Amino acid sequence: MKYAWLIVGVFAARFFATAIAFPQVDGDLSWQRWLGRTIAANGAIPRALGRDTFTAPGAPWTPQEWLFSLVAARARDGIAWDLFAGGIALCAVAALALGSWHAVRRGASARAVAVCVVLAGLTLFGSFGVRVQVAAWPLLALFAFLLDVEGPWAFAAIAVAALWSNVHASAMLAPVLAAIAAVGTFVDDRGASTAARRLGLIAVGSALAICLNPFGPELPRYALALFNSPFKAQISEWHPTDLGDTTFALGALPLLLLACVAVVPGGPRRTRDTMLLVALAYLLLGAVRNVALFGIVALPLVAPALTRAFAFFAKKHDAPENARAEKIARVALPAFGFVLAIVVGTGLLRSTERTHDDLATHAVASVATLPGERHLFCADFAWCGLAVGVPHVRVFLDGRADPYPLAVWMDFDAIARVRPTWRATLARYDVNTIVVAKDSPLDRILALDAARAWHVTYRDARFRVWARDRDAAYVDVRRSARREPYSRDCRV
Amino acid sequence: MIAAVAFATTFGPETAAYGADGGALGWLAAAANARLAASPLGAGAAAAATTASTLGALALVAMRTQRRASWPFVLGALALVLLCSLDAFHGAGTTTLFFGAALVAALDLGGTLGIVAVGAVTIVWCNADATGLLAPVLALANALGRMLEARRSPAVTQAAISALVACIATLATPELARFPQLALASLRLVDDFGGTLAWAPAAVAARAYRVGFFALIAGSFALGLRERGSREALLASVAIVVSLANGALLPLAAIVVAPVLAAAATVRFGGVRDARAAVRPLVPQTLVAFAAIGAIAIALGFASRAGATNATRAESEPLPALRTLARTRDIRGVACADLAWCDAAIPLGLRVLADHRIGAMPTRVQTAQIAIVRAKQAWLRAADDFHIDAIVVGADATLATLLAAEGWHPLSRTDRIAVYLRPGRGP
Repeated sequence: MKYAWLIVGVFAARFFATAIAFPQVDGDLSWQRWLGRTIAANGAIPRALGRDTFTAPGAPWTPQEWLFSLVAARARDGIAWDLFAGGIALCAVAALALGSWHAVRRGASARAVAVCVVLAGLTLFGSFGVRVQVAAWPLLALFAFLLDVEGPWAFAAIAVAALWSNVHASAMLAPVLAAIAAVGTFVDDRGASTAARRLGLIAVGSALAICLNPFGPELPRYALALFNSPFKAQISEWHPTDLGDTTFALGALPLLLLACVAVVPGGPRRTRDTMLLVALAYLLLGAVRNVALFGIVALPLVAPALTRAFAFFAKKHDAPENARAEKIARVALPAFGFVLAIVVGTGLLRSTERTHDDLATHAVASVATLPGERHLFCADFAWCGLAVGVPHVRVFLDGRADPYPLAVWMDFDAIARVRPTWRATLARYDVNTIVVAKDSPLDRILALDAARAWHVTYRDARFRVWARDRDAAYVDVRRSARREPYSRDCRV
Repeated sequence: MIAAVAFATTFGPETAAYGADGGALGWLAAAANARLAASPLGAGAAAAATTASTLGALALVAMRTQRRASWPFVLGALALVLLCSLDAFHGAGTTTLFFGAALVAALDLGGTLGIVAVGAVTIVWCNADATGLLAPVLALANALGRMLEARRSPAVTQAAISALVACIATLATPELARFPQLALASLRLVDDFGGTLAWAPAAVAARAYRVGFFALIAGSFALGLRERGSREALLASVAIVVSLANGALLPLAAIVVAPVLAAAATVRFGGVRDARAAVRPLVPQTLVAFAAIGAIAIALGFASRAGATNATRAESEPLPALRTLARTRDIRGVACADLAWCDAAIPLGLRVLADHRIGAMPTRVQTAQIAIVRAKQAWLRAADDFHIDAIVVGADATLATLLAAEGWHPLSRTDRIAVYLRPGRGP
């Protein structure tokens, strides 16, 4: 761990700085705070969308983020926010640190752990933010670690799975990973060894444990349904991974290649490790959002394999060769790591990105000041997360995403991408307020239409809010239907 | 080129890139395709050539694999190559499949023959396709791998000379010294010009990526890439990275990795102690394996041709509209959301903004194409700058709505494709 701590420290500086001082990465935190307030006020978790949306009120909803939301609701600003955001950053740091420690316990050398922790740290960058899935990362790392533990403490994995299911639906991975580990161990041990039987029990226990949450068996059912949900095509995080994704290219892909090259040459749990890596690789190649999960699980699997496979990574290098090398290891490297952490943290705090508003915060806030009930459409549905729970504002679609029916997603696509049916779809839902990025196609088409119905109620350097006079709107829709003779033939 | 009996190293007047370098990229394949299309067999000749190149590639892989693996694993290696080539029979193309296999086989050869073979394959590959640029990349990886295995040996010297020869051979195209730069631009590995040219493997070669590539990765985890030493491990790693950058290159990963996995499987399951030691070639069994996989390849080829027929039908869908457009006066330029449509427009005498060679075209043309396809803010200005009077778009595309809003009028429309004319143009 002598190098790994330093690297984790540098990553920690990055995670803490971005979590506490940077704006939220998506609109989810806003509706999650609203959810937390709602749960606290009513003493119950809502199980259906309410009047905060006008497209799917009453649609069944499994708010898996309920625990995170309760905490988020109490941490809006000041020291509470610092503690909360810092806690989430600590989750990412803990996942890395735990993975490194796990790797060392499995026999990885300091050099191998250092290389792998850098790569695993890079895999976390893409998904990192004050987000619920980050809170689940240390639970994944802990669960993977407990699967390796010999003896009764391994059964603590079941408790971890239960806790995990109350944090995030990715807890569905727990029984799957345990079952894969059980089968792999069965093959490695050529029979039902104690370890294989223990892992089998953990798999069964985890499958039951992930139902120990307010939703019961609904949570795994929801997670499975999400896995095959067609609306994922609309969400960039669910797109298949490719080299264009930096965290994949610089973090997960090198780990993947190192695993391809190094995992085989031996090791007591060869089949088990291989099967776990195959399962994680399947997730990795399937969706960008799984890059971080792959990094967390692969770190303790690949580092020991590297140690065994290459002389450069052998453990014999861990001991300093002479007094000078020892001095460097004891003093110079920690000092360098400390300075680097400060440089990274300070650089991020002075970065202009801190003031970037990617969420149309002010634009969405301006909608609340408009008169009457606003039926709000956001060109990026994540922005509408900021408006959930705002009085007099009902949203078309927001970051809760999962409970909205597929038809609503299709209609969202028709409007956001200005398909030929966009105008009729807007009219059908009686949308009267739209938040768009300036000069996007929807913004331009609304501008072309401005003389008749839509007018700008807010603008800044990046966003515009358009509002429609209701009476004029219907006239406009009929007129536009005549102007676009082919719209009736178009696919949505 | 065939008519003029001369190389055109610049783009012709058929695109907005008129006069820019890069027009001769892939001239050899283009000339061969033109010859095949003009032959009495027509499309059948092209299908036969595709099948022949696929079988040739499989034969080369079988030859490489049978020297290091027992025959059931030769069969497995061929199956893996085939799985990673599922989308290569149309769209991605079989060029990489054949030339990749030939180059890797040449890198295995020893002595002067190996050096000459590497040079010859590189020259033909570079003249046939821009992906020929990968030949020196693989040759350099091969040399580096040899050096990692043994700092000084005749094999290292030979591999280094082969790499040098491969680098020099890339200059033996009509583009001369500009080929590497133009080819690299053409490969624009993670860029996206919209429509059919989203080159990420999951988009271009979805079946090969989900089935073949995943099987390749799973096999690599299970069997390892180091059984035959650093050279093949490094070559395999480079091929995997390159294939992830561009779906058309997925077969390359399998060509390089499959023999390594077959060797490792032979060691693991076949009782062989050292994968570096040559396994006694079992020619009859290998021939049987090759015949079996070849038959599957041909069947898949025909199945894929059925898919290709559907794709061709989709691509030929705007042809009636394009013919009408070609008869319309005063159409100065055409832009297409799908570059295949503009490929079809050129033979009709229409001047297009860009066709499938967009990767080698000047940046200003690429920018204009992206602006129009993605309906970016500057799309109308781009259309004005390049005198685009007609735009072929998907019927439900964002741009279709914007065109209508800007007063462009539809010349024709199906449920998939619409052709819009600039106000004041056309009937």
